[in-house]
Amino acid sequence: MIHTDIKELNEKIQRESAFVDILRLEMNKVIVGQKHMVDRLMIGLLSNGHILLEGVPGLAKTLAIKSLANIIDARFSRIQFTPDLLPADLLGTLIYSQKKEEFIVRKGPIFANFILADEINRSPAKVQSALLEAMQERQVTIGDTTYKLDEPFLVLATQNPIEQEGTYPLPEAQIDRFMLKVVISYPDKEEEKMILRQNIQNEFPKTSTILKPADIMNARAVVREVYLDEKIENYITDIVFASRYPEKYKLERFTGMISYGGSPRASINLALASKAYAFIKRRGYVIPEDVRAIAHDVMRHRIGLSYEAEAENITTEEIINAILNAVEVP
Amino acid sequence: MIYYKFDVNMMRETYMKNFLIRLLVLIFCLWTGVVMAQSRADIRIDTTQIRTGEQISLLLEYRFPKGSKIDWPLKADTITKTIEIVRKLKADTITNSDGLTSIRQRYIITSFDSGPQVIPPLRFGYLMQGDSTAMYTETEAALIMVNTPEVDTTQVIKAIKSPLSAPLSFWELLPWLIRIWSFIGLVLIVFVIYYYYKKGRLPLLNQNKNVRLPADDEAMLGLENLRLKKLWQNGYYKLYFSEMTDIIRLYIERRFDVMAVEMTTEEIMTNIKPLSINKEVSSKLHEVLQLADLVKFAKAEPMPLESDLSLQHCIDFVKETAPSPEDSKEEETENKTDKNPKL
Repeated sequence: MIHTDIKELNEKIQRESAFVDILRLEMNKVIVGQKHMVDRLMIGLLSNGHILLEGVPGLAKTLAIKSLANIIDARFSRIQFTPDLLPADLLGTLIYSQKKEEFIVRKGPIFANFILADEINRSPAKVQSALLEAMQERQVTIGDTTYKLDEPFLVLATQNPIEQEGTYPLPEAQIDRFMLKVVISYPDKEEEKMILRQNIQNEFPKTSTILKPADIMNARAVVREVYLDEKIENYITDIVFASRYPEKYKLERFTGMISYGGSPRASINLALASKAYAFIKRRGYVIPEDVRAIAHDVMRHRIGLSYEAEAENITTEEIINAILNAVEVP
Repeated sequence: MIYYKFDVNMMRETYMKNFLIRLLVLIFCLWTGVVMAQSRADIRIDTTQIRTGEQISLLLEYRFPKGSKIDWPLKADTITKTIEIVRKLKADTITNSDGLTSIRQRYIITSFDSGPQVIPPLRFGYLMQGDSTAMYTETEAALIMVNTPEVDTTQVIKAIKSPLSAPLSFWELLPWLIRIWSFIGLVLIVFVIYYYYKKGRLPLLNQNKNVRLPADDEAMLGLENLRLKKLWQNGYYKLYFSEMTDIIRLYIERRFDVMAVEMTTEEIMTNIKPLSINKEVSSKLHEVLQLADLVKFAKAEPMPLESDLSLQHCIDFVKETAPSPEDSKEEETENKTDKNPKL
């Protein structure tokens, strides 16, 4: 019944995405709850995008990415962003070796597969720019030499939503480079009890290495093959356009509330993330549910609120909800 | 010697004649005196000292026998060349107990000539019914002293003040207000007509376009038309299933007030689950929507039987969930006011 190429693709994805369930099981050994965050980490990993994570301290952000790195046998670096951090502390620098009588390269912590940029908004713009440039270009220049960063390369930056004093908020142009902005919240009561039990035992559970970075690279190639119909393309562009011109989608009440809407990067990332979401759902084609499931995470940091919206306590979440309820599903 | 011979009878006759004449003269004189005493004309003024142009009140009162025709002076707008009548107020007519009628007429008068100004005796007259002789009486003359303002020559001479503009009264403004409001009203009417014309929602002109079928009839008509188009038979599976799901989602939106057009398959099923819909019909609809998703988003080409059955399942769903005749009447009333048809 299904078209031959889609049928083959579906079967291929069924085979290739088998690791997703195992990866989830491994993650669940150490991370209680936070299914949303774990899924988004996989989406970022599979669609070659970076993630901005917003949540209060103590929600297992570091543990999650560290565990993911361990499961994939990838190198992991954690960089605590502070006001006195310098770009060289992040990227690396040239050091004069008296023994060799020459400058040698000292690579920074960015040369890893998974980077946890903790509290990214605590460092000044020059450090943020250095990181974001590396994220975009996937290469770093030290001295005269340019070094390619290893693949997979995933940056997970965190922001604390409650402490804003003495911070350097990320500019819109740079925040747009994150594929997803994931907001994580507290676990529920049952999950909290499980976390408690897990942490008072003598031995903390450990994850096993079950994948190699090459497996992720292969999976990425398959994700790109996931079929995205023209109807879904139209749906994605409608969502992004509705964030720019709300009045054209019967959302006149938001005219003047949005200072800027989603950029073309929003459309690209929404399509890529939807493909990755379909992949982790082990499907060879994207359906509107995939787009809707990922829309908040892709769009929330790409919609700028005007002063009027802030005065009326309108949030980007409300705007995205209204957009999803106004745009016709194909 | 002369002898006068007196005839007694003749003397008596003469004496009687003289007596009658004297009596008639006396009666006439008495009657005339009474009548003349009855008619009377009075003049009263507020003051005898005014300044140039100052307005004062002049009251004329004339008493005359009831039912008489009267001759009233002051028919023009001046009393004399120097005394003008500014306004004539409403006259009072009083019938007195002695059978006389009084007319009291008040005038506002002024004078612009300084010096003593005399109102001459004003002559009133009346003519009784059946009488040809008019009886006249006059008021007394009145004097008004018109003074000019005293000029203080010790002070600096100032320029003549320009005329003061009198404030406009409401009645003077009313015609202009009517014209202005009429113009604004006309502009508004033209604007409203233009606005609705541009929106394509002229309620009177587009009355026929706004009549919308009930949700179930509209859906059945749409599904029947879709069958007649023979889309899947010609290989247009995607178009066939897209139109089919559009019809059914629109039906759900109108029938159950669920925003199905903006929902995915699973969201639709979750939202209609709490409604009292036959489970079998609902489950078949779910299958149709899932199959449609495969056709629309995964290039699926269903078997002919599946394509036909899907349409039949949609028809069954509409028939099963169509409102009862009582509900339809209510819906019809609501639809008459529906001015934004989607199909």
